[in-house]
Amino acid sequence: MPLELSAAQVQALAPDAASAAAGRKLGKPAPWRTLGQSGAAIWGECQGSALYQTQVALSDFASKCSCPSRKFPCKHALGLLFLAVDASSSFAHVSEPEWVASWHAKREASDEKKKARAESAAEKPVDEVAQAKRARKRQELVLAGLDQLDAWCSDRIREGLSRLHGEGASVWESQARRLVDAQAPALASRLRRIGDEVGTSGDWTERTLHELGTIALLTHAYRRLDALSPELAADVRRLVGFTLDQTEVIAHGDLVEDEWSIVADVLEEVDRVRMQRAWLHGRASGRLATLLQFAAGPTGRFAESLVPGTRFGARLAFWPSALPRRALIVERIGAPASRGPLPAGRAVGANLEAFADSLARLPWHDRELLVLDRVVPVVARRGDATTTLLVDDEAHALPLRGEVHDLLLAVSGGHPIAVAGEWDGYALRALVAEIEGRRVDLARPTG
Amino acid sequence: MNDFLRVAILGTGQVGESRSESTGTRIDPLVDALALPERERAFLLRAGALALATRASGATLRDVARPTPSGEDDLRRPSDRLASSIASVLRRPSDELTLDLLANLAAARLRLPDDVLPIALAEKRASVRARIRPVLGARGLWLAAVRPEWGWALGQDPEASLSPEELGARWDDASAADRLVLLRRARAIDPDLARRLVASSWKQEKAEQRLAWLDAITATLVRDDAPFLVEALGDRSAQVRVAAARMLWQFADSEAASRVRALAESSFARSGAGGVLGRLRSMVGAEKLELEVTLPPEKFDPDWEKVGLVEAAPHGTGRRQWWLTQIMSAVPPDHWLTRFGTTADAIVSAVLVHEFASALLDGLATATVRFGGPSWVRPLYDACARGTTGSSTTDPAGSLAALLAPDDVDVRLRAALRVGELRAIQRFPRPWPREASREFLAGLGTYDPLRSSALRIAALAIPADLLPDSVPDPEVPENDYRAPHYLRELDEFRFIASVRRAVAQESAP
Repeated sequence: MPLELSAAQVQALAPDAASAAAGRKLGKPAPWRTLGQSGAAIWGECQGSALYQTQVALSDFASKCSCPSRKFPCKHALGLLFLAVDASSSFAHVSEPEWVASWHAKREASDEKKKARAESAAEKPVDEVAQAKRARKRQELVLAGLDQLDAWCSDRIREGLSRLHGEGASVWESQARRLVDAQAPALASRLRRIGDEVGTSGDWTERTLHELGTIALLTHAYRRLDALSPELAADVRRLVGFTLDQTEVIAHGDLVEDEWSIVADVLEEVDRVRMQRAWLHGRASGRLATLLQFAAGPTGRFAESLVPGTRFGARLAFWPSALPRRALIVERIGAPASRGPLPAGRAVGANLEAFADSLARLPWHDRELLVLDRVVPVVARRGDATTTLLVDDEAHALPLRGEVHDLLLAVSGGHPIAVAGEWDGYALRALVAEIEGRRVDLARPTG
Repeated sequence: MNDFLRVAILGTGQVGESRSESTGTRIDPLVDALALPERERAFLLRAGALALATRASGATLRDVARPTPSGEDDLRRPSDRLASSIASVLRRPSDELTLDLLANLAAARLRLPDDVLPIALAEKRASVRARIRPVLGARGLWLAAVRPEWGWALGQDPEASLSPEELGARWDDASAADRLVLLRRARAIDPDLARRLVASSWKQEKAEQRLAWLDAITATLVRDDAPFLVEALGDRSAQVRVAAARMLWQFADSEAASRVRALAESSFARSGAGGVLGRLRSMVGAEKLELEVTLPPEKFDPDWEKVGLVEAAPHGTGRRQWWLTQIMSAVPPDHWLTRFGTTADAIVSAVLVHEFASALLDGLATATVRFGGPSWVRPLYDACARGTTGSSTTDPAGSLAALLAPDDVDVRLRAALRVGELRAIQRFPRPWPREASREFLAGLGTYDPLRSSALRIAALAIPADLLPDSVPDPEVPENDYRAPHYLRELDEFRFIASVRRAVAQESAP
């Protein structure tokens, strides 16, 4: 059986807890009339209120089922994967039935079409005059928007941050809308995020000041794009709201072929849009990459199945940047494998030195994946406040975001463990721990 | 708070020019070099650079001590697969499966997996906590020290071996709950000490606590308790007086027992021929026993309270029949074997045809549970199970079922399973007899909606080593509205069975 996912990894694919539970129940041989596997897929026919044909591609865990569920993957696909984990011998090596073979053919045809579209887009003649005109017009809009934003920020400092607490979200929202009108949507999102944090913690004034200051540095830099390196200029444009489509990323970004471990991921939902931010680590290149995916609605499907703890061969294209992190999958190579260990970790000091280097290259770098080796979670109490620290062998410690991390404490028991998480310069969001080779997902516990 | 942040909070418009708007770092000359005309813009650029410097310098804390790690565990760690099942069970709303699982883990000397310890320690109910404590292991106890609200796991162990001196020393300052723990411990090592401790605080305690103390010693009564109980008959609380009198029923020569026995004998007698000849004839079955039952008088005699009778009847029960039930429950049932010279079967048969059958059966059943009487268990169980005995809060057949001999359980359980008699099925002690279990499992291949509600109970009651690895879905008729419920319950059966089987397999040496 080429599939070696763990039950926890299958569970991580589920769109919600109910689907995972339903999938678990179907992860037994009884409901399956037929089961089979080839080098490319596993499949089965599940007897529910009708006979459903379910299949999962081994290259990327994409699935298809004839059931009417709008959830993706559906419980039948999850059940098939759970069964493959628990009882792989139930799957006979047989030739693919027509309904499996035809799905493969369709997917291959679709991939070819995508490639062809990308190639034709790249070859499409560009009306440079019209393009320059559009760019000029946008530049005028953006600059006017930034002037207006700078004035707004200055007003906040003149009036004092303490007033923000009583003014509500509308202050931020109206300014964010102006930025959207000025075609600077990324800045608008950044402003909304700052507004959301007002009054939510004891140090919100300091954090808000830092964030408004960071925006000031960004608008300052935007007005001096010509003085920046092309890579940093690309970052500044991206942070304001200029986007690249996938063809442009492939055309202008680094292309790196490697075996990529999906170290951890973060799932967030804003305004009914789900986002997955997956952190990848290249085995040979040692590079870090973040893949962002979006899906509409609470159960919408992501384009790629990215299961933390697995690894896969692929060529990635990185967005042009002074600190290339965001990437997209150009092409997968071979079938994914499971149980990729965490990348080699480092002590607290070495991790922070690397983060400082990253900031030197890209001062607006929001977050970085840190892998901390041999750290012990410790509860620290200062007055009424309680926090959790990760302490390394040299007695250096980093604070974790939030209060007490019960699960992390439980799996460590005071013994050194490896922890990977997102560091934003202030606190670590712990995502995964590794104890004696066993992964524990801290962001979404299994069971 | 530094001056720079103070200015930001108050606002540059609110503070004078003299207030510091510099960061006091090398950032200041960089921003000054820009010669910006607007004060606030310069302030914001300083803030941005300061944020960058803060993030780049890292929020490292130094010389942070690590705690002493958790020690080696005497208990074994479950396999990853069982650990996953345990996590699933503990994340569900707590139910019988949780309690069963925790007990089985403790018996198998397995501990809870690390990642479910926070869930287990967050448990609030005392009954579940008592089962969690033995399976926390060294890691769980280490973790319990992290949060004050988890301290219950480290708290005083009711089984801790305190010496009589330690018990006495702790008693005066102990809380009500702790005193109960101390009393149980004292009772186990020195009943006289337990009585002395109780007597020392009896008058100062609330009635609720005094009742709890009586309840704590009721299962281990000794003759030396009688004087203390007689004294409690004069307690200021009616509930305490009644409880003490009922405890005195255990001593046949106590006044309470004698008086209530006299009441019983005047209410419950055999009619017709008595004497030696009559007894002989009924013993050989030549004469059918007929009963003469006299209800207590219309008016409740205040003296009855002193012998342990309660005046107010449960809702839906006649007052006089309720008094009769209590009177019958106060007398060891074997007393009637001697008095009537016949068998329990004969007496129960005679009771069954009497107009006050329900009240009499309730009383006899309670007496059998209270005093014992092996020959009564089967006939009384059968009579109670088929009739309308008990109230909304009592089920005499349920108490008797636990006393039935295994063969008697087997026959009755199988009959109840065949017809899906849920109330009866729930009464039988666990684990179920093996033959009845096998018969139930053999029927799983066939769709039988009458079994729907029995499936969960069976999954918990069938001996774990008999539970099957897999249970196929049976053929389900189309358009049967009961089928979805049946299939859901069958899924639950599979889940519970898989968990119990996994524990059983890992408990094997």
